[in-house]
Amino acid sequence: MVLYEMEKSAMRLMALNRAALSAGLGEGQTLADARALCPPLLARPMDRARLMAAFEELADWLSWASPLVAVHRAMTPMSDIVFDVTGVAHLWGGEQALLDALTTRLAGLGLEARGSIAPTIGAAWALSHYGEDGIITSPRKGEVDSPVSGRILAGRVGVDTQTTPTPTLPLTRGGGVAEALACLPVMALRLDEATGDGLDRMGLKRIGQLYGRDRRALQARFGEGLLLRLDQALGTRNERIVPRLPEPERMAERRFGEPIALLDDVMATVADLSIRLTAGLEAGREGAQTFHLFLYRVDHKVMHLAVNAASATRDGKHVTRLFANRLERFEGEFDTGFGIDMVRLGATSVSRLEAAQLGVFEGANARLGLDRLYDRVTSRLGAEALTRSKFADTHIPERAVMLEPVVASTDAVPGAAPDPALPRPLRLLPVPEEIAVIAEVPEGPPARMEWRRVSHRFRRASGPERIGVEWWRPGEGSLTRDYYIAEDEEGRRFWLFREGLYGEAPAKPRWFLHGLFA
Amino acid sequence: MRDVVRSGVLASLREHIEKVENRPLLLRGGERLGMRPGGREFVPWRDAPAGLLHEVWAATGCDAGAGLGFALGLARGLISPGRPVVLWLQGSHQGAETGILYGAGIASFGLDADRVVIGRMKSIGDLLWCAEEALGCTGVAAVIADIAAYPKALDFTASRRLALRAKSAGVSMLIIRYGPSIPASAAFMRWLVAPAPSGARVFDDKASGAPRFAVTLDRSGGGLKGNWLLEWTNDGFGEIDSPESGARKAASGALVPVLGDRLSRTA
Repeated sequence: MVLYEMEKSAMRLMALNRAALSAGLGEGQTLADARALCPPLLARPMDRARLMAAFEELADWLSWASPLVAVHRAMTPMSDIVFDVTGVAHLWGGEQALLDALTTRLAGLGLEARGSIAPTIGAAWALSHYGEDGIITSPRKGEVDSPVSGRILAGRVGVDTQTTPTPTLPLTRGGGVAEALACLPVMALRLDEATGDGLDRMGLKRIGQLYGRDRRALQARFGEGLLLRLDQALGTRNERIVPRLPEPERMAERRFGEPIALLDDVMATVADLSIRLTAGLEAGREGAQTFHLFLYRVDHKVMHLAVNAASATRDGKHVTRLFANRLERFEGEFDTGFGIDMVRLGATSVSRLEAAQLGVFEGANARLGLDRLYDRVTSRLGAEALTRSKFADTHIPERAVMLEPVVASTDAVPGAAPDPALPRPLRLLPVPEEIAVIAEVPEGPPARMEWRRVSHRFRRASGPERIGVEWWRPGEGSLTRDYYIAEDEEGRRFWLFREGLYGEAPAKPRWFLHGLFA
Repeated sequence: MRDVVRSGVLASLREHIEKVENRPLLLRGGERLGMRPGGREFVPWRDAPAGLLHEVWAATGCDAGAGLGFALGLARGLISPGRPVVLWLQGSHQGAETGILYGAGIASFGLDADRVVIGRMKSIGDLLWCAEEALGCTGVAAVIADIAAYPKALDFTASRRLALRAKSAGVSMLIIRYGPSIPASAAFMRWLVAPAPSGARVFDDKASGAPRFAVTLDRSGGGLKGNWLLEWTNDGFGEIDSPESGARKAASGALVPVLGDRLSRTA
């Protein structure tokens, strides 16, 4: 089976599976040639976006092994996955066991995978692509196999050990990283074709031959790229992993022998995990603001849910309730596929939270009660559901007050509270409604209006309060507004404005109703 | 002797009925309904305790301002340092019809805009759920729900549920509704609110003065009814004698300090 893509008006093969390779086909060949060489060829157009999404999903799912997973795109858009397995291996009984667990699991999915573990991303990449050790070829399973062969690159990357390259030995060989890489071809340094060819012509075929060379000469000949890659592989220059999923600072997880599928089972697990997680937080005198729930499905997909608390918390029941609210909203679309075989609960935004003494009147703490309420409501209905007014420094009424989610933790300096002497309506219409108005004198207050097909005759009116245009804003109209408070005969009070002045561009200024007073 | 026994039985029966009818909420310090300690008259818009379900009816959407003003006035008396927040809930589709609570307006109405949390819900189900959650919260002074039209979800059962929840939590719930016909509900007090022409402002005859409300207590659990013409100032409601005079009633007691009393008592 091959995937082909249109390239320069020719259909060329872009990805091949092992069967196609052994039939003598190669990447870059035109589809017509390939068909001639191998008539029973199964060819499909390549849908890059879809493949990419599927590959990323796979990478997410692999976070069951280690929470820090990234798709490595330096060389190919989709074949390299990087893990940070610092401090993870012992959970699996050693690095070899971890590697085996990953590769066998992928082999079970019909994917070909190889991996290696090294102190740097560069070294691990080199070993997994060009090294002889740790190669695992999986036997084909059934007829269907995927042409995208996964290469697992498990980089044991100390993210925080930037300056000193870790002296530990790479798993696959004795000696340091430099020694392990020495006999690999230079292309293992993640170089582009041109640089590789150039080095080849100079007779530099092995990475070991680069050690001790004059760096300036190399840089002059091949540019910064070669030295960068060399340094990254050897660990003298730092390279970071940008994990795809949020990286939990604390977490608790549970694996199942038999996959679970019912929402109730998931909830029970969440309740259990949140107790474990918060017990851990309590032991460290910490609290967390954001909690992440990862549901690992058997069919290699991850569902990720996050809830935010208004303030740092370590109340397991509260966390459970937030997730219950969130999961309830899913009910219809809660799709567990073939089941969930692992649940992980993680906490981020961990901060110090000293134990608070709870008195007999536990309910008396208004602040805590409100925070809990906001959390519950927003976890179910979204952050926009509950808002509070935030004043901005502007006179334009619709912009002077913004609705800020109560759970938003913005440290922005709030604008000054409006002058209470300026009358403002209790209710503001989101969009001013145009009304027909009769005024006794052109510049005076209105005498009568028609709003929503009801006529109101005004008894009293005051104004105008003139609000100018904020001309410095792009796309702003150029008409000033004159606001009036008008009271009709029943005592209803309206906030009206006239847009523009008499004698200006529009021959007749328009009137709008903008708000209702008490 | 027999009379004494009989009156004792009657009293206990009465007590039982009152309990069933929710009346003990209106009893303070052993005083019967209609009386306040110290002989001051019980005025429902001033003395209604927390933990009741109120309905505030305005005739049309045009009167939305008056309905909200009255509800905020009632709710303001319930704010205390221990319960600092009033929650105002509205269906998000309803904003275009009756307007959205405006923070600057709350400030010029005499309330602290920080203390009013605005909740805008996608459906009536969400709104009722949120109201119920809020009633159980220790920091909420009152919940005001602004409900237009006649949603099916808000039937007698739903209002009974809210009333019970409000009573058990001791938090008042105010439902603002609009329309001419009034369906059955479990509200403890049903107010009909309409705006009333305001008095003139000092130094400016043409401008309108403080907002006035023509308020009718149409139904209440205590059997209390009445009409009042109220004026709102930043200190609270005051009763007006007649629309023309504009003078405040002296008989309704010292009304300006009422709110101050409450806040200082709870502080």
